[in-house]
Amino acid sequence: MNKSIKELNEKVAKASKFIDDIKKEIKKVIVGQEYMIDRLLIGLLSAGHILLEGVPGLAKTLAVKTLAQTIRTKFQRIQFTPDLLPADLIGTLVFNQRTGNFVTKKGPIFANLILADEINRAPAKVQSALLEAMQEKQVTIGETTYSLSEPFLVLATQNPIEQEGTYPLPEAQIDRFMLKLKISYPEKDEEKEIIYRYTTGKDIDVKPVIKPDAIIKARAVVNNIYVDEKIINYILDIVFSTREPERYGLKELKPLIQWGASPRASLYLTMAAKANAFLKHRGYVTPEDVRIIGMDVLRHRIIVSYEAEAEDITSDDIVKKIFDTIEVP
Amino acid sequence: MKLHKKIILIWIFILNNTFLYGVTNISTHFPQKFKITSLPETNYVPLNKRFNVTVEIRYEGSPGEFIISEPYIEKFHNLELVSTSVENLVENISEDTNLKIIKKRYIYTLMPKSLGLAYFPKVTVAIADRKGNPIEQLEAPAVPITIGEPVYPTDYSKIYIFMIILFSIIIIGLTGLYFWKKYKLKKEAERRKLEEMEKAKIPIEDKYIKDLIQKDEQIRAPNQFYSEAAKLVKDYIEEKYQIRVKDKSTTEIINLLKTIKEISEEQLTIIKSILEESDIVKYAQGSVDISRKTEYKERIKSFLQENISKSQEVKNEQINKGA
Repeated sequence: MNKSIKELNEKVAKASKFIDDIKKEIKKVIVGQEYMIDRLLIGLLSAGHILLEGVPGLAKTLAVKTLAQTIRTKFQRIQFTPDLLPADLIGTLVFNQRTGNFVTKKGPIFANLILADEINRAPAKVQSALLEAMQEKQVTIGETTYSLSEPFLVLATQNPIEQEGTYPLPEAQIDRFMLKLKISYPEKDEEKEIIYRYTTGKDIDVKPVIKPDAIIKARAVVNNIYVDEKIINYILDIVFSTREPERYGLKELKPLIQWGASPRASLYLTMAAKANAFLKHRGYVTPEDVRIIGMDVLRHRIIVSYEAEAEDITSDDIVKKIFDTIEVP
Repeated sequence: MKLHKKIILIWIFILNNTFLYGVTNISTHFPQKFKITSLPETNYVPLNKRFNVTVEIRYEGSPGEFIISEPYIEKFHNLELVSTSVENLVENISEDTNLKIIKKRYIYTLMPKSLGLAYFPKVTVAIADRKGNPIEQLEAPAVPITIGEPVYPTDYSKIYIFMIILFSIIIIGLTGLYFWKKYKLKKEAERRKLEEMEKAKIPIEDKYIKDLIQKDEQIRAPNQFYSEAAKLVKDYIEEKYQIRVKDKSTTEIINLLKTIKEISEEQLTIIKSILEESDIVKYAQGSVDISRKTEYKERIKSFLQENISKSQEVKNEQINKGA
């Protein structure tokens, strides 16, 4: 191994120790759902917002709340409803009768971890206000612009059922989420454990593991993780195969894809792969990191055609086919 | 104007019209000029083909009004008269007159004698009235005819035989082709079987060991060698266990191999170490010196050689069980 990478490896191993502690604390509360926990940490480490899709009751809120507790950050849960206004989210100016001045009342977005529950229930202007804050990491109330404190991470949930009266997020907005996770039901053994753990009436105590500053420092380490050119080319091959599948021996996918993944997909895939390497206490990225996170980065960035919809082919099927075809370097 | 002048003018008008009517009618009662034509059906005749020359004499009048003599024909030049026929035709000019067109046709069927130029000679016909008084003598000039190379007509009666022969040839050809192809396929299958049998005798590992040694000799850069050697191991796994691994990461490959019963824990550890070491070299700029490269090559080589003996053991076991 190259000397500098060996050093980096050691540095990463040292810097990523807290990951195991966070996981340990979260596992006190959450049974199973390792897939979701890992991705929450990836989002946290690479400053990428996450869209969670899953039926109610899968411990999405609990997981985020527990994560916030372990890193000593402020957590806010916002239930998105059709009557929600942008001011309810970002805050507003309130007239103080005593002083005769307007004072700023900051909204719930001024937190570190935001859980935007059922984001698709709020109208477009509210969604837009949230997504703008996500992108800019700042909010303007009246004439004053306020920066949002780091780490700032939005975890939005979407319920795949009960789609009536919802405002589906436009593709351009969805693209801003680094990952889209599909949360599934726990295994039978896991659910058994949930029963044992949550029917005794005992409170589970979660200890904070690190301070928010440590996350910022860890992000700097993640950014320095080595990505070889072979891996970059592998990522590019995967992303480009969503745009020009015929060039990669995937001719059959051509009529199924209406729009391929944007350059943001390449960026996020690299960042997420780096964060995954960090989770594995490694100072360099391997194809495995790309493959592990690839589905979550790409699934919401591929727009399937009507033909694919008619044949019941989802973007997940397309991404799977791509990963099963593109050779690992 | 005075009455008598009017009467004179009317009388002149009536007289004039009566005169014009008479002239018109009388002129139609006069016979038209006699006419004679000598017309061959073609001016180019193949040597072996008969052809007709029609001599037509016509006039306007009533049938039997004139006597037309037999045509006098001079000597045929390069032509032989085969037969002659005569046709009399009467055609009405119009319904309100008795005038008719009288036609008399003499059709001469001729046969060319030799190649070159031939002449249908000048024809002379004499016209007389009912009493036999000669009126006119008509003449049709000689007509040149070119005699060309003989043309033989296609004998369609023989085409059926030709078709049957052609069809039979095609059928025989296709049948032959079918059997020839079948024979070739059989031979090819036999050859492949023999090849497979030969191959089965030689362990696949041998081929990979040879490749590995070749790669070691050809590739100087240790990093590139690691990459190629790992690829070779993946190719070997794919061929040996009939699974696709090129699209998988090291962990995925190991997990997949765990499901294959033939692979022992020991083999799995070796494969894992080979692939993981290659990963470090490939993705973490692993520095490799020549001695480490040689050690890596030897490790792969011994892994392949061990697999040969293991395969042999399995084969022997199977033979013993069968016995």
